[in-house]
Amino acid sequence: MLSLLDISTIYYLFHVMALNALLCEYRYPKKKAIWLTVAFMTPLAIYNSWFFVRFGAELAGQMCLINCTIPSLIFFWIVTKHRNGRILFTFCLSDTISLEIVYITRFIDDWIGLPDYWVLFILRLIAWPLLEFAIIKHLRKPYLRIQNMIDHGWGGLAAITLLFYILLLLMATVPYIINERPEYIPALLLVMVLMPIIYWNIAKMLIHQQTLADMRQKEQLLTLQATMMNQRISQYRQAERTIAIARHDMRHKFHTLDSLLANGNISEAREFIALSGDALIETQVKHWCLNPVLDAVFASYLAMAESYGIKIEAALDIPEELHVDATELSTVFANALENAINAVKDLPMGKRVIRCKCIQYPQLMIKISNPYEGEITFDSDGIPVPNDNKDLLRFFANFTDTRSPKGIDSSLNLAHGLGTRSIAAYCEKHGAFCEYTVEDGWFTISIVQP
Amino acid sequence: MLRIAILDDERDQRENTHNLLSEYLNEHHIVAKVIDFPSARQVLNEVEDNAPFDIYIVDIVMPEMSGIEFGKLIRKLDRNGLIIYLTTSPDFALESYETHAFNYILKPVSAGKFASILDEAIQSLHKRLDSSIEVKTHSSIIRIPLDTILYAELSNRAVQYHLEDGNSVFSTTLTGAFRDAVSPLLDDNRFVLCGASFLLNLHFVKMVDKDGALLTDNTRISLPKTACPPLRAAWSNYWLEGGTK
Repeated sequence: MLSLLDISTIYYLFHVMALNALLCEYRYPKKKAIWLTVAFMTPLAIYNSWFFVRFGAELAGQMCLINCTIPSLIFFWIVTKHRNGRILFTFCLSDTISLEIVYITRFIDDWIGLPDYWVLFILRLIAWPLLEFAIIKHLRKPYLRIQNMIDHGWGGLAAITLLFYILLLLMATVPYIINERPEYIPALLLVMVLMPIIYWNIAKMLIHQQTLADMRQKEQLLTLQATMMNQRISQYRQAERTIAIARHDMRHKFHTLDSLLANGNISEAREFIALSGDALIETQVKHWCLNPVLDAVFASYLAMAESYGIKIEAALDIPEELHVDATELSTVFANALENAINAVKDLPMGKRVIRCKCIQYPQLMIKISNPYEGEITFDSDGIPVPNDNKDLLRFFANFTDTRSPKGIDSSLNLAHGLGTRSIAAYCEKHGAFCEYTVEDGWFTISIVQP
Repeated sequence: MLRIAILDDERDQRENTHNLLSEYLNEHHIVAKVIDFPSARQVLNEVEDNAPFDIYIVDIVMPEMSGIEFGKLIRKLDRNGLIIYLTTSPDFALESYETHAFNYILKPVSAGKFASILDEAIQSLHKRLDSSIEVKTHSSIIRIPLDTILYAELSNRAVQYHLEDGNSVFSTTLTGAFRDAVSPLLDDNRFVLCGASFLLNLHFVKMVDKDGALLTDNTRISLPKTACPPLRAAWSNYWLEGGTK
């Protein structure tokens, strides 16, 4: 017959896995990620429960590393989007927090002293669901965002959590269980206090780094926009110069026209008028939409696209005054256009095309499509994932090596695949809905901004 | 009968457009009432006093009120009429988007080009105006134009069609599933099934959020969370692909 302690230990096993699953960013779509986790973790948890019942708590504890920890770490290593220090940090974080719950509940139970582990059982029954609720409600999204925004330092953080994990296990079980060595309990309690303090400081540091990354991105965005605006100004100056020359030539042209008509050379006069009309076209600055900030963004990116021989089909109904901040919205366009340009610039000439459409009724809606080659996979949030070993790498690759022929160092991206992430961040901040679709060889991003 | 307005301040141009249009209508045996207007104010008065037009063929550069300003004002009175801009200047193409214009043509226009744009416009109008369904009610069989259906829902084992004018029509008690009962509507790209008991006309959807849809008459349709993303995709696709076009 299983005691409440045994049942709660099995319960703990399931919840460690659940915590890992909640904090891990999968490289697969949501449904597939859930299916994979359930398909792998359920048998693993059942096997460990069986082992625990069959061979007892002591052997199960000794074999836990081989029976449970290593297989689940391998599993999460395979399914995660970040096969590096991030997953090890996440894994050890879930395990150490769970161990804290195990130890604290055990100490409280011992301290109260009721029989049959009722206190321990009830406390554990409540603790994990509460923790999971807090993670789902408040922690998961920012934590996943931090994982995407911050590139460095995860190895060191993983080492800290790993050391805590080993320390907690060793102190509590070696050479034998700590309850039988009460003089060591204060030391363990000190480590248990130290751990949350360190974790709290790690969290503060990560948030600080993220703020810095956000600011860096904003700074890059503003620099980019300033470059685009300057380009626009130089285009207007060029047009002004052309108009000035045209005005200067006008008097001579009228004189020529007058002579042609006076001599009855009607057909030559008409030809002369047609040629003069062509000169006027050169004075035009091409506009893509009415909003000046977005117009500058489009002008720069679409000029860049045209220089790669990419055909642009654009119909952009964007009003002069927007109800959202045009500077922030321009991030969406800049990133989406950048991705589209990179996706098509190496395709055969006839296939290099980008279609942009924007409407403002019934809501502001944006759609940017381009053909693609290869295979696109989507992560658990439905966002395209760069495929490391395929030529699709270029699809979402960092653009730092892409120098536009117009002289723009074009990237807003701080890291690989971050373009799509910053679109997601914009949508989250402004309540917009973003959807990526792949159909008939066309990749499309659609955004609805309420 | 189709109602077409031609708005141009220059008499020659107005007559020229009128002739092109008459030729097209005669050739295609289309009966239409064509009225020429020299000023935007007169068209607005006509729409306010009588009825909206199906097609507005509009010049842009006019002294009293520009074609773009006219387009914005007419949109407040008439959401559905097709505006075709016919102008000598390419400079107002971006502004024309704001009026949800059907097309923007540069003068001089050839008869062939003019005809092909009218073909498209008439086809779009027919698609919108001529499609209808027959609904068997307890007392009779009623023909409902699709253009007037806001949405349909399963109500007391019957289909309740909510119409644009605020009325609703109840079908007889269903013997099969709701989906089967509304299947004729699903052939039209305006209609989308949401969940097991709602059918929405995308043309009347103002917003789709996380919990449902808001219609143009401010009716709120609550939908299951899983039904919202596909509805939003269909809705944005419908409008981005041209809406009524």
